[in-house]
Amino acid sequence: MKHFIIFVGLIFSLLLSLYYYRDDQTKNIEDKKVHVYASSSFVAKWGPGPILKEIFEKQNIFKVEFIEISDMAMTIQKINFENESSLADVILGIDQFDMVRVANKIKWRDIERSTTINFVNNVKPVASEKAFVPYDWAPMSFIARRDEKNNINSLKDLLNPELQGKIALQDPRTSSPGLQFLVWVFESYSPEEALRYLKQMARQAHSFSPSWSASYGLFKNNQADFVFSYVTSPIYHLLEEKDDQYLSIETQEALPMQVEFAGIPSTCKNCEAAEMFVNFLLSAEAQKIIMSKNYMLPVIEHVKEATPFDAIKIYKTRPIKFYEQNKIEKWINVWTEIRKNEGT
Amino acid sequence: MLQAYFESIKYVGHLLPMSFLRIFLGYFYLDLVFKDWKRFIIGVGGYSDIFVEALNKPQIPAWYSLLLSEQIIPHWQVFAFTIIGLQLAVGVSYIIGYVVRPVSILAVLLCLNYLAIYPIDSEIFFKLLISCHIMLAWVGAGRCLGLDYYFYKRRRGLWW
Repeated sequence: MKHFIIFVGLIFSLLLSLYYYRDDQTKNIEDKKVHVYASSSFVAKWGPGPILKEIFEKQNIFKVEFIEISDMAMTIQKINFENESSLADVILGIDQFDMVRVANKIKWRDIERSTTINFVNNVKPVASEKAFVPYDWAPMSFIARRDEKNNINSLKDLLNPELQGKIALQDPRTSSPGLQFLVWVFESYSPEEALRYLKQMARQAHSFSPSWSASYGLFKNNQADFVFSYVTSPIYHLLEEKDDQYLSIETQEALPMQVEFAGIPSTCKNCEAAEMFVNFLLSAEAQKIIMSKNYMLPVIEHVKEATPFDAIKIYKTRPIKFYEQNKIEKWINVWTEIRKNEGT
Repeated sequence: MLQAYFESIKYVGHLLPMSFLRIFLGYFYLDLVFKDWKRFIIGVGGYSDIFVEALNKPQIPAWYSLLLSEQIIPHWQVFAFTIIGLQLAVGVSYIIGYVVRPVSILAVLLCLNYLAIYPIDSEIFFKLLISCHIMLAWVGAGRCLGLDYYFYKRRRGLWW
């Protein structure tokens, strides 16, 4: 027993001394680093992250380190409990729902805009947010192939019997586009009509995938003829695959839109550099990169001019709104109940 | 001590296959320590991520969820440090074959903790690991190719 206690004691003493005498050099390197938490699509080598990092590092003395996040709610929860020891300097990919559902769990730092920015009209209402800076946006609609015969002009047209099993949707509990669709339905119809519509849609849809990418995969593999996605999706196929067979559908109901924000937690370590990075995201150069790599629209005017993105028709969109958390939870619960009962 | 170390092959040679398993597990734990320690020092990933995932895991026992939210998460750095320390103790003990029996019990407790916090798909792996630790404790795997043989010869008892 004595041997065992001494052995374990020695091990912990060794570890403690390693912890206290770790190299101070690492700390100096950390002082010049901005830790940016972003989604995998942003950080990936084909995403905007690596190019933005390269340009920002050329312009500033700070280094950027991207940390991949998979789930915004879990990331915020982690920053909340890590508190002062959290490394997060900037968090990217916060959408309007995250802002009301999870962002209030931690404190955010107000971000000073370095220049007067001419935001596009769709984003202007949320551009004055002190703690969150919008950096890209896109309306959302159904995407189809040009060769598909479709007479879809409204949400109701999606319930046509010939479209049964042909629509790929997302689960609103796990996917932001899924939640966009759910909110779109509730905002377009009265509560009773919305309930009826969702019940019918539960039977009509091919599936409710846990993520946008999973549902888009179904559409790409011809397992579904329609998918709920961004109106910028067809331009991706055009530019990356030289395929002009995809189009977004305009409906009578004004389209929902997703705006992505950047935020700086109040526990940031390198706050000034974080602010510089967020302001850098609003530069025309960074906006062009985000647009062409993330396939989202720029938030500032004139960036997409003379680019293929200029051809994207911006249909009538719903003004961006921050919903109360209770309301969103209630709508999700309604959807969950419908799914449980399989639309009966 | 060195003589006893090699002498053990002659007298408890039937435990030799077990010693290879023990040394491999020791290496496994040390490898885990290096990875976790690096993450712990730089503060990215590691146990803070694992604790958050565990908190959102639906299969987690209610009492552990309470422990996690009330005790572990508010002091997550202490717990992460303790887990890494215990992993290091298991790794070193298994490699040199010293106090293997009591350390195996520690390792079982560590694995029970992993079972609670890691995703459900790694459950079978940790169950297998638990059975290995029990086996090592049962046979006294430190007696062959380990320092435990030296102490066992002199002191006897259940600890070696």
